[in-house]
Amino acid sequence: MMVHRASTPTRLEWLLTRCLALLGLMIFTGTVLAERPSAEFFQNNCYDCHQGEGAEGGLDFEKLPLDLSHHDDEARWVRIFDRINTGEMPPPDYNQLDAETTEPLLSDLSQWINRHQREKYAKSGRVQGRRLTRRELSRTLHDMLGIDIPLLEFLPEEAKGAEFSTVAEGQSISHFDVDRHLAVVDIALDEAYRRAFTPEDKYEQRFDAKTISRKNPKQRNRDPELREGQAVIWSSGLIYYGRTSITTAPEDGWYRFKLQISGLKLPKSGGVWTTVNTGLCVSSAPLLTWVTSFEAMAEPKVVEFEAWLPKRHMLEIRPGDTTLKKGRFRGGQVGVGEGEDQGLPGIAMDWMTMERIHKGPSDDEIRRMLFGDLEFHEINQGKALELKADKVSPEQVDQLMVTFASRAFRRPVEKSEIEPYRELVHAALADGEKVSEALRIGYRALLCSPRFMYFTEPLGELDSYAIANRLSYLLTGSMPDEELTGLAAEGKLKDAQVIDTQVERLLAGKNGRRFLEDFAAEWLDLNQIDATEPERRLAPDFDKTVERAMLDETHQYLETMLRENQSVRRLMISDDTYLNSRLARYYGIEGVEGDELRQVSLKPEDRRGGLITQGAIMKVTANGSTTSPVLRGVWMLEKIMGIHVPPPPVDVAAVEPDIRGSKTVRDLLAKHRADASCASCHTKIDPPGFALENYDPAGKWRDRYFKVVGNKREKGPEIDPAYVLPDGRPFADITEFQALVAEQPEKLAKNMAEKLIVYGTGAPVAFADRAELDRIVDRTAEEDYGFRSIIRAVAVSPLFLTK
Amino acid sequence: MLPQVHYNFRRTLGRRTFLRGAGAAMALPWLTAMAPSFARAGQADRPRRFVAMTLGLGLHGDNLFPNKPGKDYESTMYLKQVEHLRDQITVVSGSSHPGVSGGHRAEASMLTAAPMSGSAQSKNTVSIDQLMAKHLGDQTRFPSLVLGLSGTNSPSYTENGSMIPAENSPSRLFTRLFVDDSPAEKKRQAQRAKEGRSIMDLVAADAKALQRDLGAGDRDRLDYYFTSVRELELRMAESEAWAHRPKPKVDADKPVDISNGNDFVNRQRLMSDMVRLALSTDSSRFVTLHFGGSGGVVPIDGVAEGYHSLSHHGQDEKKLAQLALVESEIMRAWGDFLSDLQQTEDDGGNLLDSTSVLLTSNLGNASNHNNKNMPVLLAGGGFKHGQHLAFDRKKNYPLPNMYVSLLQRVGLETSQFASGTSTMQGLEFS
Repeated sequence: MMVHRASTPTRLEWLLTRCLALLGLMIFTGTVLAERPSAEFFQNNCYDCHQGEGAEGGLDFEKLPLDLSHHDDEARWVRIFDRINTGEMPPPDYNQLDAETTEPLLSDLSQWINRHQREKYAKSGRVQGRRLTRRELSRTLHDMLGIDIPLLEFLPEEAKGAEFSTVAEGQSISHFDVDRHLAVVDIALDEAYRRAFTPEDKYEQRFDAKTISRKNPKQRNRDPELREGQAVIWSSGLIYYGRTSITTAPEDGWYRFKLQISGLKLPKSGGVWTTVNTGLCVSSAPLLTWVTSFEAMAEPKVVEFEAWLPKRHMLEIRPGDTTLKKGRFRGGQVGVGEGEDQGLPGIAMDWMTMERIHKGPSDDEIRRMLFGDLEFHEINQGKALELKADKVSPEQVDQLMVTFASRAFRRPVEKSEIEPYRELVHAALADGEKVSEALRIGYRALLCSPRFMYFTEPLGELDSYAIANRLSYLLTGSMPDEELTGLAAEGKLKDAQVIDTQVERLLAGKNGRRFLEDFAAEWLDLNQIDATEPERRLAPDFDKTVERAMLDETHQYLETMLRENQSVRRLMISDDTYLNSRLARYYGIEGVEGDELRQVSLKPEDRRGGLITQGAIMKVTANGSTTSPVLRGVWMLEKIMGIHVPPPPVDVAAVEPDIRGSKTVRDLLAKHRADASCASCHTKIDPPGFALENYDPAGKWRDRYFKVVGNKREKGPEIDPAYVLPDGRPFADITEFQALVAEQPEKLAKNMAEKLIVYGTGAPVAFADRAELDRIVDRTAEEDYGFRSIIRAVAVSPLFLTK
Repeated sequence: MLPQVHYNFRRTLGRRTFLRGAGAAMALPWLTAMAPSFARAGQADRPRRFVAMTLGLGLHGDNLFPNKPGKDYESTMYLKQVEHLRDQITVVSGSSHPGVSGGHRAEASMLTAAPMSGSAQSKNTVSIDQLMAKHLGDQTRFPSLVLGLSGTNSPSYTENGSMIPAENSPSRLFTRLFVDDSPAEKKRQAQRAKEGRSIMDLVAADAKALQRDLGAGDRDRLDYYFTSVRELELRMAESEAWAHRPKPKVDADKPVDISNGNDFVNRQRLMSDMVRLALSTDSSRFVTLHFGGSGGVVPIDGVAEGYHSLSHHGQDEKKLAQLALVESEIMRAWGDFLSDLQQTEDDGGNLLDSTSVLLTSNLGNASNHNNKNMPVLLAGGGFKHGQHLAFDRKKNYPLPNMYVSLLQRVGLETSQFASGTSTMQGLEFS
């Protein structure tokens, strides 16, 4: 893809530039020229193919400016360096060069690019003004104000421009975003003020089976029916069947449920897999929100779960295993007893408790966050609270603003720095606003400040507060906690040992799981797990319980890697994974019981070793009805193996698998290998892509393709996963492929370190950062490239600790 | 009809200011798409409007779609109800939203074209009316109106995929549109907007102060922030101005809501009339009106069974006959609404010329909950009509392409919407 611009320097201009540079050399010093690549090299070794009309791969050296100031040109020169460096160019069949010939050029090129990028860093920094992402903003407002209401839904989704949402380059801002920001700040402040000024939220109910069941047994509806003293729902595809009106929320809030439940008329496969969703459960509001799933057994058991329920929303609890026999009911309603003789599995509830809860700080703590030591008194016979206004001095107001601002800006703030914000509050007070309302205006403004919304740092090494900030957002996705802020205040975060201890602390316990869920959501595209629904005819036994179990499997697997500091090799190979009975049945692995995930030893014929063969990975890399070795191959290279693939030339049509015809993807892609300019990338893309072809779009193993004919699926051609790695090593199937890749764990480690740097700093790893990245990886070799070792090495690296 | 302030606002916003902002947002297709529309803002182009009327229970295809394509298509039972508007209407057969299934659930995708399936957890995206309102809605007091006949269900979704609840009371709508707020309420609204503006003013100044201490990279990023904040400030000034401005007066009394939920067609007529009033006073330019499926018996002679159950006719002739009675009435009422628009003067032409009116449903076949072959009728708006666009009923044409045409018609120079990647084949501007 040649980028055409109006003023592309011609060869003459290039030579002219070089002459001028030579002139500079004679007058000043030799260093400038020494760092420029030699045109002679390209003339001698590249011009045969890369010059003039029809230059190979769209690369015409005569038209490529010897200038790095344009981003696209810089990228091209980096790619030229890489391809010569790896020996891909000049191609072996043309004129293989020895190191003696290439080394001087590579050294020149590398110095030239490095120098250019470092100059840019000196002026602008590696990372340029990144903004809180949607997730970070939501979590930070939670921590700032002590509230727990979901805020994500009020914020526009990030543009999909960069690898991670944290990357500054991919972040955009418009008046619309600022408007939404202001709106979400208001929603958050409203909730904090509501919690501060009204009595504690309370709602506690206990329902017996009769109360859970429909009130009028003669009515045909979709609520549970009372059967032998239990509230019962049968297996059926009927939408909202299993709605439990009694759980209708009186107010928006988090609710904790405990439920004693058992399965009825159990299927041969074990218990009755049950799903819990929330929604209005009426046909005019079609969408439901997932809560949990579990397996109801013959023996009653108590399950516990928490759910956010908007006012008037309720739970839908029902057998959710699509492989169960489904009942048929007339007219979209179920009458008592109508499921009885259909031989259906069902679920039976004995009792349920429902309690309003809050996650995080108490109301008292929220009052302290907002108003420090100011005193409250009750009004309206205890129905509300109010600040004892007469006792508040202007100094106290200023102090509250300074405290709030220091937390919001994540560094100490002087009174004078926030003068305009304080003035706003004092002006409101002068207008006769109540103290709490005047402060709210001030808080509102502070939370819209660029100092809150952006990470701005002076150039060069980060100071302690900026380090605390980066560490905290990398590992917790939110603002630094008290301990980090305290260490920053003492200036201790410049000490690698201290940073290391903090990393361990912030990854301990539940935090580790949260970190890796955040990270993997974007790194592995796990946030796309429900983006498609596998085509029913191709994946008849796939359902939500399977999908959630897949996601849990991958999370649990990564969490163990993190907790036990296991080697990155486990991305490729392992002889165990984490399954529950539903997923094991889906995978066809026998002997796994229970709805909790458990570690399961794998036999080679299970073909589920390593992270890359897990259902969640196979699902997010397919589109629901077909797989594409190209898409999966690119995914593997970019996400796991750390090989960057430039996008295909614009004029090339995508190769689409044809599930009806007899032509296999392999046939279609074969022509790529014949075309040299396609082959340059496809020799890398196709091997991992084909190695994974044995996994269907829904994550199941398959030996043949399937095609859909009418409503049936028919066997298609056999799958041939064999291929050859770019370095010439052949493999016969996925297992051999995994073994080959796992032989080079340093490459997997380098990729993971790179992802962490990008995610944690908000800027891509550039050419000039490569040496530093290598050092990070080297430091973890002794610990066999353990997952946690890599995180620790990243956190103390100069890349992470510099603007 | 347009108060001068609109144009003032647009000039203030200015092309340069906006384009700088847009540069920051290159990754966001909508924003780049909107640039040309603002770039043209200086010209006093006539206002373009869009109304979507959406049916929850479909329109029986056999009674709607003609066989013959082109201009001399034969009139079908339903098209006969709007025969007098033949040259103002395009009927489209053989089109649907790619990747959308799930029967009634696909209602959520009607105006978003977001892939939808039997799974309840599918995620939605922005609907076409809200996309228009986002970029052009600042011209009117209400950027958009989301209306329904009963319940709060609507086909309008925000960019996050959350449904915007519909207003279903004509009288409440009338009050919002035409009855001035109390001075106290006006004051409260103005106060809120004013406070927001002073905050925007303050943080913009703070951004400038902060920039002084930073490197070039951070400075550039804060410039984008600064521009966005300034733009929002202008928009807030606009809404503050609306709060002070008296609402338009109309020659109509506040309507009385129809309490009988089954009286579907009369509810449709009353709410449609409110839409006409809203458009003619330029209170809003982007309106959705959802005709959800009422369960009860529609009071029409010859109809004895509930509307919802009729739509599941299962080819039962008796049911089909009753369904045809109900749907013919719906079509006639729709035609009357179009005629009313045509008879309302607007900017030298009539309101129908400036308003694209879409009538559609997620159900191509309500009887078996099929989402293919959606009923699609487009009227007015400055398109070349009077034709039957006949696409392949087995392999449907992507309807999202029509949405691209509609977006371009209101002035958003985009070439895609959801899975739509071009304008609709055969649908041309007049």
